[in-house]
Amino acid sequence: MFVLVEMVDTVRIPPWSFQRQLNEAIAEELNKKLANKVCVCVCVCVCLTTLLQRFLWSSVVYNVGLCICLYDITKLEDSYIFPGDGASHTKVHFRYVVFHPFLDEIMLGKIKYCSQEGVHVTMGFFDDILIPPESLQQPAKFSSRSDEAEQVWLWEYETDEGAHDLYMDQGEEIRFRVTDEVFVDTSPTGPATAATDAQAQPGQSTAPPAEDTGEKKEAPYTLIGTICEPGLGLLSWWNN
Amino acid sequence: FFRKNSNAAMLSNYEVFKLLTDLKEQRKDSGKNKHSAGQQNLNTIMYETLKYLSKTPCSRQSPEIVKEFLTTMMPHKLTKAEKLQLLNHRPQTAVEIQLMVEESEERLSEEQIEELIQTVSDILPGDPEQENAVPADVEMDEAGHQSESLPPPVRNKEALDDLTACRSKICTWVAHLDPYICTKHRKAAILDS
Repeated sequence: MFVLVEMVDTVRIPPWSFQRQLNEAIAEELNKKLANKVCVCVCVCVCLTTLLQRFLWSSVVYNVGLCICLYDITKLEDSYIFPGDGASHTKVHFRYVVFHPFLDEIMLGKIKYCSQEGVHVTMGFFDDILIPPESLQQPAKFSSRSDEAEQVWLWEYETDEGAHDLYMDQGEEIRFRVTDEVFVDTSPTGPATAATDAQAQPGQSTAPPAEDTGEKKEAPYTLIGTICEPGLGLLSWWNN
Repeated sequence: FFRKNSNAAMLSNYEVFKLLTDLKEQRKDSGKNKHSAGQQNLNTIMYETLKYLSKTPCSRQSPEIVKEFLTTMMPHKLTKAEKLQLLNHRPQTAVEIQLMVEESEERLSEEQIEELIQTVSDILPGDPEQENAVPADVEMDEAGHQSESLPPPVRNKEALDDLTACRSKICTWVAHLDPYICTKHRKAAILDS
């Protein structure tokens, strides 16, 4: 569920924090910068092509995950003060605890709500987990119970005596397997490109009108899960 | 910033739980500037993650337990990811073991799966609340207060039918005492009584 990620970054310590221990000041700055944020960082590598005798730059986007907190600082390089800025800049090598479940990992969560898109699951610290309708225990049906004004997915469990409806209610504990992860770059785009971006994205089912600036906020990191296996689904379905 | 190694190591839930608990103690002692705007993100993620992890088996583990578990697991020839999942989830049924161990039907015999469940149960501490609930069930049976039998183990079809029947017209006080009934009914039961 959690991994350690080695990172390198330059940390700026403002002059009014100079009296503090460097380690502490740097740890606080790193946590301020990274905690509770999704890391989608770009790594630039250089490779020399012998044929053309020139440098080729290739940039790869590595998707890291949800940063939790600083694990430790492995190396502190020299601190520099640049002209025009009174703060010190230090290059830091450190390790950060990141939430990044591996493919096919089994996880436990709670049902947040159900919608047409599927069952939305939350783990408290991480909310954007979706189980699409095709990955539910089949046959599954989406029903709106008028008495409770609730929308819920249910599993039509077949027995010899007939079908029983097992509801997937809000707040129920659910065990699921991670099948996919989606990273979306949510960094702000310029005003001119915002409208064209909205129309160009193939994933959107309804293209928002050009004057609509209140676009639905997309989660930078979404997990797609499945419960279509024996043992997966609500814990109450399988517990002794 | 620049990412050197995005998968330097896998952490068990226990390690993250310990790290966050220690960090919380440290921050509690230092006192000042915990609530500044910049620290709010860290506070939120620490609180939520600790809340989640404290309800999992890792909250009852220690470095010695983890070491003992990994040493006992060596002869079973499981991958690192599989051992990590067993450590984090503490499975108690064969179905859960089959979910976490890939191709378990080919790699493990039924006795080996039973052995795994036993090892996991013995070495990793369980939830004391869950384990104490069992005698309560026995007392209720003998007292004869209930008008219908308790929901039996849900792994075969008849049991599943009983569970669904119970969902609709469950004994309120049974729901109140049995921790395995869904919390929604339990909450309703507490509100009614």
